[in-house]
Amino acid sequence: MEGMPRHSTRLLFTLVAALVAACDSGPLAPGPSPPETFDWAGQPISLAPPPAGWRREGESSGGIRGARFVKERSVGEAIGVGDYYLLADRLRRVRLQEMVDQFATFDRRDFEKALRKAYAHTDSPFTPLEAGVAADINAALGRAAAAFRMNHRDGARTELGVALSAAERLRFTLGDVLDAVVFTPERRAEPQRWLVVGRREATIGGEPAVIVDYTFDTPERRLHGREAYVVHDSHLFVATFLGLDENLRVFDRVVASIRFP
Amino acid sequence: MTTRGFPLVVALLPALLAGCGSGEAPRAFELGPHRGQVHVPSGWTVLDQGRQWRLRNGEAELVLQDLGAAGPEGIRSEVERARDLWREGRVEEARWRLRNVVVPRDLFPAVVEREAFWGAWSAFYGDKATAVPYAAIDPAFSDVLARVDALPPLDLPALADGGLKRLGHDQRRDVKSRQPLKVGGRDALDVETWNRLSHANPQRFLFIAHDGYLLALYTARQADAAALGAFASVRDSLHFAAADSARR
Repeated sequence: MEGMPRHSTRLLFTLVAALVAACDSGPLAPGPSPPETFDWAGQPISLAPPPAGWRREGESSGGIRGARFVKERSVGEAIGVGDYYLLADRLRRVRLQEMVDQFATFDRRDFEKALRKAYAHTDSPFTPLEAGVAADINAALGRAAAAFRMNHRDGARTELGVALSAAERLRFTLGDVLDAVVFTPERRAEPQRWLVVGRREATIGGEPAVIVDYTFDTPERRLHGREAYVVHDSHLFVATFLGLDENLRVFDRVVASIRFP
Repeated sequence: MTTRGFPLVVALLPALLAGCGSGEAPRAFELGPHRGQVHVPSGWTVLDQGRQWRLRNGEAELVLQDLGAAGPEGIRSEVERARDLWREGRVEEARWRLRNVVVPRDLFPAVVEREAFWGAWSAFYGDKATAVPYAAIDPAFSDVLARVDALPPLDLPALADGGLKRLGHDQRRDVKSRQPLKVGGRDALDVETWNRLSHANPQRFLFIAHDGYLLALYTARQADAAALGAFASVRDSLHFAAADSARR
């Protein structure tokens, strides 16, 4: 080196390299996925998705709304995480709170439209508490509708408050809802191909959880399945994996990253 | 290693920096009330559709679009313009202008105000066969303008939310980020959205509000690397004529 310190030259070339990189709009090399916060049915959940090489899709089937990550150039391996919306739809507090907040802006048509979406489900309740709460909500909303029709807005607003108080009583625990979704071969086509090989309790995102392992025999090979169930604030989240043993660790990392912000 | 290459590297620096920008000459645009200049990235073509430019390069596409009046300030401008047209005897043009004004429902805190506003506004639409002289309609304009002045002002994020809706954003997509910035000396909001379920299919939007009118730049299809690069290039090259709101 002559005339100029070696570290200055190195610094200069580093600067040039950085400038060249800054001009290049190409993708960066894949790295660990940072956590992302999803909101599929009214309850945010944060998780670190699988790394590059797992294609993302939206999923809205089987009562679950969420994301599905399909391993590219593989044998149909997939990881899914979603909110069991058939349960989330039973919760009425957010919708009723919105009605209370927007009440001053409602004309009759707005009110009736909002009301139609606010009535509680009464079919196949998950728990006796849900049946009681749904009856209370619907009775209060019926009175609110009658009051609004009579142009008695204060009365309608009061009954909305009654319905909201009832909705706030509703809570679901994992024990209340697990049977509705937990993996069993009988719920699959060709049950003889599926076999439960383990079930354990765990903690996911600080909440009690259940994890079930099973196998699935395809004509070509045996695949490993794993499903995790956790409830947070009355929302049931289901994480699923079906694929090769070597990728179970990818699923486990996704599940371990789950948080409820 | 020697330092003989040092002068070469120093000489290359300006060229490297210049390479980050576009080598194309700026093109003038006029989209509704928005006038200015923009660099069209090399390899991209422009389809001028009046109130919007569609910039294309293969499958990648950007749109630069006038979204019209937004918020009370823009509504007032449109009503004033309609009043001028009416005064000139161009009644149907004035009515057409008024019919195209977007007044968001959530500008009204209560149904009473909303119904009173639209009640006053309905004075503009009578029997088409009946010629309404300006003197007869002037009080209605004054009444509506007073009601417009009573509407709460909207900040840029609120205007951008309205712009997103007008561009098709709905519950299937979520806003990933909102980044306030200056573009061509004006306040702007750079918004990234993605699919609500999977966080795939990102889209980028830029909203610039000026004098009550909203201009948007957005990725029209898949926001791949080429589209995002062009989006940034177009965004950073936008410059506005000082009096671009004079013509509407």
